[in-house]
Amino acid sequence: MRGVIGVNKSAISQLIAVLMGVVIAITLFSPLILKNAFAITAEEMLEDPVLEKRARTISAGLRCLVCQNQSIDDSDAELAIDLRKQVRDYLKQDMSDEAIFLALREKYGEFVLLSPPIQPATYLLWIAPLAILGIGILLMANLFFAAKKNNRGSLSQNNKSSGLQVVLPSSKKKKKSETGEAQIPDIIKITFPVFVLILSVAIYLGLGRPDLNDQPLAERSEMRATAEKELEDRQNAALKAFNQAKARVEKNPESLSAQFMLAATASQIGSIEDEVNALEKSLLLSGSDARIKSQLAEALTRQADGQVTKAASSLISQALQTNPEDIRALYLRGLESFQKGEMGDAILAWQSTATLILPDSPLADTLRSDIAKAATSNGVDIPKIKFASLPKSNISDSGGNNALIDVNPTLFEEQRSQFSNLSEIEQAQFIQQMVQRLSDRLEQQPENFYGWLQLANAHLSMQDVASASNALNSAANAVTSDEHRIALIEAALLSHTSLSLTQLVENQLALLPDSLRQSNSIKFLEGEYWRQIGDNNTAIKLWSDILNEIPAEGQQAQTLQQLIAELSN
Amino acid sequence: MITEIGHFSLIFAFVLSLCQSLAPIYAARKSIDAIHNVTIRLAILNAIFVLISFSCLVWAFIVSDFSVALVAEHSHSSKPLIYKISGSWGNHEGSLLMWIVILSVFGAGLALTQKTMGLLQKSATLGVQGVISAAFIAFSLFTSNPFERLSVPALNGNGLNPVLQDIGLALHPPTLYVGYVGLSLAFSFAVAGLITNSVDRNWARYMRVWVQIAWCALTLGIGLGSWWAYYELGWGGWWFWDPVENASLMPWLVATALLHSVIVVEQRDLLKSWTVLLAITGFSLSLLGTFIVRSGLLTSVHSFASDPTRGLFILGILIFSIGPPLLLFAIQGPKIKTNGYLHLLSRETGLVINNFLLICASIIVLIGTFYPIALEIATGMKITVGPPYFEATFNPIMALLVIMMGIGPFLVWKRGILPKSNQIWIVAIAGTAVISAISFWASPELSISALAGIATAGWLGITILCDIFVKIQKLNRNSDFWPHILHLQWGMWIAHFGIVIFLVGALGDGIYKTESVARMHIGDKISLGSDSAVLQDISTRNGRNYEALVATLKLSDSDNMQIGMLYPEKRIYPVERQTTTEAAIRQTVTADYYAVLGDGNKEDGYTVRLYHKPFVSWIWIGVIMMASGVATSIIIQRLKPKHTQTALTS
Amino acid sequence: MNVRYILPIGIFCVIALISGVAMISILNGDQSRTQLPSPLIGKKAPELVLTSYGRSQASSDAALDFKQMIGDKPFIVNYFASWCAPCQKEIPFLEKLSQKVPIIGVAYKDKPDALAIFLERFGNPFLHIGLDNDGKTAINWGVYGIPETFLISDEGIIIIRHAGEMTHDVYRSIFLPKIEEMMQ
Repeated sequence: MRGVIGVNKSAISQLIAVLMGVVIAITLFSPLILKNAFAITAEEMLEDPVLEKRARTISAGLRCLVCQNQSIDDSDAELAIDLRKQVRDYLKQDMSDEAIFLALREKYGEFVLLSPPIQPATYLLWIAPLAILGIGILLMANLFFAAKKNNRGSLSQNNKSSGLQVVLPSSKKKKKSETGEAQIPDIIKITFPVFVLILSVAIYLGLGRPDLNDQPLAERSEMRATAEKELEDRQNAALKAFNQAKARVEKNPESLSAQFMLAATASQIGSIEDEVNALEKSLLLSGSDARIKSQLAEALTRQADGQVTKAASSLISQALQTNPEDIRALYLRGLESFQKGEMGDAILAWQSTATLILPDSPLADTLRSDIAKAATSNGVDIPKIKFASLPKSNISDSGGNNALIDVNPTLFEEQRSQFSNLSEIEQAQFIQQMVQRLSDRLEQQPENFYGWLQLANAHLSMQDVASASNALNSAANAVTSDEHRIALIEAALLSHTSLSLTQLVENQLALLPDSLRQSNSIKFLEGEYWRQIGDNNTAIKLWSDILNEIPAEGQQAQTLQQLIAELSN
Repeated sequence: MITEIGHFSLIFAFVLSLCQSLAPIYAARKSIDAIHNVTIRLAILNAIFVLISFSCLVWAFIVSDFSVALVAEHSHSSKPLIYKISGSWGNHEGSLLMWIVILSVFGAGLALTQKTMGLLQKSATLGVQGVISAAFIAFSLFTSNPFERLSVPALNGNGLNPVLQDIGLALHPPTLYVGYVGLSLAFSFAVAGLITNSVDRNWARYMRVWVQIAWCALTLGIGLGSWWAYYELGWGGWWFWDPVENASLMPWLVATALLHSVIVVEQRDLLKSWTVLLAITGFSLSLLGTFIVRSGLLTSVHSFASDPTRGLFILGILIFSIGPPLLLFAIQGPKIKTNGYLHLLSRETGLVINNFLLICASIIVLIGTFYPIALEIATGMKITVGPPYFEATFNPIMALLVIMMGIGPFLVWKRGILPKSNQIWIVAIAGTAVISAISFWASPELSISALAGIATAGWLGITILCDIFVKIQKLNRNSDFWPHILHLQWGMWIAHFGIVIFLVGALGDGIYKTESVARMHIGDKISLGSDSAVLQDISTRNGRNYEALVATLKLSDSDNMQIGMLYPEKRIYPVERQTTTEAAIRQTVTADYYAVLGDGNKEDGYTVRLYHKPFVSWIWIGVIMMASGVATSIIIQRLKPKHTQTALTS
Repeated sequence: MNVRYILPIGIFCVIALISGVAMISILNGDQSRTQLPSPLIGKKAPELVLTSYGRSQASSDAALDFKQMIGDKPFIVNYFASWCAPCQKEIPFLEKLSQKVPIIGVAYKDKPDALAIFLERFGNPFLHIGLDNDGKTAINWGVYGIPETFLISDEGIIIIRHAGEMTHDVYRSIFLPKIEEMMQ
């Protein structure tokens, strides 16, 4: 056995030499030992096996540019397949391996090589392993020599840190200690748990939702089942309506109303092709009606995944020529400009659209965000948006200028002129469908005040007083402003008188601020209210008050006098 | 209620962790040992509340409570129960909570066991563990809270990705996390050891078992991931040098080094500062790995910029878990007394070389993984550092390591080499030469590196067997065979032999695999080496939420005897609009047959790829063996009668 | 001996510093980093060997003669396809550019029928369209996805390569300034 002293430098250097030799040998001769499998197809393989083998090797060294760390040999991506074919083409042209790699590098850059070549940018990468080995060996050598120096001196220590001892703790925060026998102070024993609890509760109150109960699916199953059933019913109904419409169109292909119905139902079930075709037919049959043009433009845009197509663009222009205030067409024009990068024009078009709708319709929100997007894209400040204000006139006289529920508005408002072309039964069916759509949408957005009013209106036109009353009551829940209140009062009064509605009117009147209640228009409504509940005298009194404040020759005065006269008899 | 209870528990655990981290300081200052005991009990309480919290989250997934935002995002009512459960950790917030669970369970594990450990040391270790715990729970609560609620519960969930409904993918994260997080305890030991200046043999003794547990889990976790990639991704590869894979390999390499250097500290009181450094580095790499991968930084530099808050928090955790400990190391390190000596020819040296090679390997993986990003940031140039680079640099180092593994067991502690080892060398070298010769003779076209690979595997196998033989013989000659059988190094033998098995698998598949591709109509035959397969049928099959195109392949050998049937599939999931390929694998001990169905139709035929991969399952058998070896070691340590354990006061 | 203990934190500080600088540069970074840099920039434009779209069936692949078609002016080559959504979105911007420089379109793996519908729907900014049915021309130009747009100088050198959709920003800040510069 050799003694400690016998180990000498030569042994160490021999060892190091051997190690380095082995490392170099293996490094030089170590191409791929562990290869992965291939994604190649039968047709790609070359007939010449030598060439094919070269092809595989080269492919294994090229990276699939659209994959994550795979070679083109391994990948199924289209680009990989094409590159494989290219490599084989190059081989058939008798190019050497290096030439092929060079050719692809010239086109795709260094990234295409799976293993970076040795070049200035990657010197560090390739030198690193050898450098690390070298440094490590030096460090180890240092370790041994240092150890040897230590050996010479001390041969018998080892007592210092063996065995179990509670060393005097010398952590940065501590001082010298005596025995650790002290007890935990009582005050700590009490305050500590309390403190922990209070801190936890404090954090919890900041983060948690103690107000929400658990909602395991099983307990919600009934609600879910109903919701799912309703969804299914709606989908079935829509499909049924569509099929019916299709049948009708087949019977009368030249009927405008049939085509139109088909378009509406197709849009319900999401069949964009049918919708576009039906609208195109409708357009022909209607003699190029501008409103159908804008609808068709909108459908075409939807068909092209939201991009305004050339055809849509010309339709929009035509529609706007006929009616410069066609909301749909205006909006689409804005969209078109946005997609062309003409942000200024987009903002202008959208601002014009805004002036035609009410500020709390869903389209208004879309407009706000669209205008904001266009403005930021252009680097300008977001401009103020001016919306339409509350129409003073009766709600049911829409004239096509009222709030839209969404960009694909209920045809109820828009197509009143077309509506009259339908037979009574068709009209009824039509309304029913629109009503259904409207009430579905309102269920999703119960805060949509004007929607409820429209629904009430629709129900009234179908003589469904009960539903109308319900709708108005729902509208009462959605009231958020005095204007809403006034509109609601108007609508309630103009509908069929029923006890619940007069109660509604009374409540709403009471909620109006005094200043408004003194105004003439409210007094008029109030008068109507009193008349409906049978108190003619109060009605007459109120209306007379108005008469005192308005010019006597005006239309309004005459109407009032007439009303008063009727009541007095 | 239950979800909110879970939420509160997590917050409570957070406060407890804060206390757990501050208590040891207070206790040491005021010199009250009882508070050290409080630290220990706090660690247990911490684990209890974190477990409660996690159970509540899993419950929410099980009952499909869609008022919990996480459940609405990642689950669905029609998922099978097992995937509902695994869905709870199949996302960022949930897996973070699992990380926290494992962190506190390990802490509690330490608190409940190792009663002979010094009170101050134990308390300090748990204190550091408390700091980590607090940091992670804070990260969870304030940036990635799994208990966020929706006031209007969703109608149904969003999480129905079929690729994620897979058992391998379900088990991979928990196993991997036990590995990563286990290293946290080693980290805590290291930092606590520095603080209390008690880095000694006892310290190593108590730390070792935690390192072993972590290493076992990490090994199994990585193996599981590799196995999943093999059967799921459909082209028969099992390791791709993907940045994500590398991120898990690096801590594993450091953990292996740590596993061995801890032994040196325990046995010989050497390499102490080095071991402390390794423990800190290992956990740092775990953190680096999970979080850099999570933030997508490795795949695209720009994913970091798109979500800065989380990224910055993670960066903060990284900096504070690496910086201060290293500073502490700079200050306290010199106080660690080294008083052994290192003889060139000794087991310690062998293990030093082992550590050196492992650390070299992990630095190389680190450089290879981060180089493209660094180069891109510096020069804008995009390069790829792919498998060829790693294979050219990593494999040779591993080969050296394997060679050293053959020599190591024959070195003795303190100095020298086993007597009569010359005979062993002769046997081993001769055996290796024979194996190499046979391989070369059987397949002369083998490359040099392939041959080198086979030779090293053979070398290791033979040396291990020789070692076993010699040691058993030695024990036989002395009396008391059976009582002392536990003193033999079964763990090491099993684990190291597991590497041999792994190498057989890797080399067998890498060198000897064969592959055939053909476009097949029904009735066509494809040949694969001496075997062949006939495409008997193409049919369709409806699964739970998919439609599948299934090919029926009949495998036969050279004598036309049937080997088996393969049914590769192409699946279409209509709701998610995804297509996946399900490879058909026929696994036997000696080889896998692996079939993949490609595109095509009845007229033109279908592309079919067939592979024969010899010994490929040995890769994972080897991995399991490696983990079992260390597990055996843990068990034997517990079983050894106390009085025969190495006395540590000599 | 002390060096041993200071070294780790020293290394850490260096790495942290470098990473910090890197992070800051990422957070302030520019978008062009998401593309692969093209090595063809500054080099002569490769040939375009394509079947012409719209000509009779009898025509086969032929190299387009830029000089004959365009003369000594700058021009743009745009790789697109009817099945590619971003390609349809960038047509308006290509139309604007086509008023300044001629654009040659390369339809990548497309069918004439689908192409016709596409052009009718969204517009045709192209002076000439060629069909690259096998993708070989694309590979020659280093194309790895569509759409990709190349700006070529009057001397036939590739000045700009943009991989990805030509958005309003790209049009405005990358192509337009360069074209205007070249026109002077």
